[in-house]
Amino acid sequence: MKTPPRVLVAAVQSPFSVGGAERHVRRLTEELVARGVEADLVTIPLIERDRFDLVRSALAWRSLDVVEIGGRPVDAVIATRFPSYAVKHPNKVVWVIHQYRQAYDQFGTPWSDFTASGEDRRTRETIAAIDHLGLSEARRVFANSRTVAARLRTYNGIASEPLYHPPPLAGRYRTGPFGDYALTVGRLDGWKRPDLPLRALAHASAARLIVIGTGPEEERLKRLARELGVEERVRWVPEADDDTLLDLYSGARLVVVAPEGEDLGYVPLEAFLSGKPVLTTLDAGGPLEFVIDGETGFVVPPRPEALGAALRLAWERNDALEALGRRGLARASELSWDTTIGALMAAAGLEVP
Amino acid sequence: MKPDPEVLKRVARESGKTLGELGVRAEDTRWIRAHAETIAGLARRAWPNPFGYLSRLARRAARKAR
Repeated sequence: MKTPPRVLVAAVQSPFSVGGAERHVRRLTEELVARGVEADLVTIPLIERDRFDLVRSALAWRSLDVVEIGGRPVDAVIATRFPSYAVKHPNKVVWVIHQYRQAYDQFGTPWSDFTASGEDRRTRETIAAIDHLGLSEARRVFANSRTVAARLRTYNGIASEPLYHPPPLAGRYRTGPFGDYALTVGRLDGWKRPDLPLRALAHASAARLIVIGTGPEEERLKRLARELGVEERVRWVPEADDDTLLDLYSGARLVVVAPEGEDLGYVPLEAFLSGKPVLTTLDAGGPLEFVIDGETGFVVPPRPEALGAALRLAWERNDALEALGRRGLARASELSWDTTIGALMAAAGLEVP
Repeated sequence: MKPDPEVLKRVARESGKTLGELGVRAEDTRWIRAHAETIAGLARRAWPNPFGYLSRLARRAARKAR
């Protein structure tokens, strides 16, 4: 019997928190194992108390020797998120899920805490050096979206190929009748612009909104809803288990995706697999790789009045929603773990057993 | 049991070299110092005052790696 290939997935851990990136690497490892690959997940926490912690974490990855474990070679490493791709291995494939964006495109915006100080400048330079080292020595670099691939080219001069994958609960999403609420899903962080859907409600008197998520902006948003006079039409769901999430997707009228410059975002794909169109903005980034205006959703300028106009349309035109939702479902159904795993294994020169 | 001073010197040299490879420069003195303090934490029983020595080793290794 042929020995199955041994593959390590390298990922960064955020202790006591399970976000999209953590769920993603677990799922990737499970999908490899399900196909007969001897795969395991290796994580090192990134705990940021000061700038040097970023370098310290890269140093930890770089110091690991994972070429051979237990007397048998590791055939490949699939590294994912900064700075896990600093790990050394002769057959390293990188699937970039997250760069350290505060040092790049977010620098100079309210979403980055890097200043013009000497230490911050050196930290940004060192992050770029770590990215260049870890990515340029990889056998192949994938990005989780065209948006991320474009950033890698712009800021690091690294060529990469977009590689999509199904969202976390693939196989469990279901379609349902169009309900009486728009849905937003995601952490309530400033850069995700969670205020935009609320402000849009003020321009669409029939629309209701369910907000799934929690985060530092929560109290401010609740105050804003009161000030805008829309609080009666907003329901807050801080935590949703998988079943609740699936129910809320399947009963939504449409799903609103408001962040600026998102890497990819699972939410549009989750909406599509639930048969729902997506309302997003012209500057959304990754979501625009799937949401096409008039085809699978609405793409409008990032202004409350524009989102409000789209919401009014969604409340008036059920027939249009059905057509948009059907096309979105077809598009998202094209993504499969078979294709994704096949691409990663082929890049490592390995066969899927 | 006391840590072997030779092993600690090797850790300082090798990790200093890796820091250099990651883009850290000898003039990033605060970072080199923080790193040397981590190793010195291991070395406290091997030398009475290991910090200065390990710091110099790590800085030298980072400079060479560039």
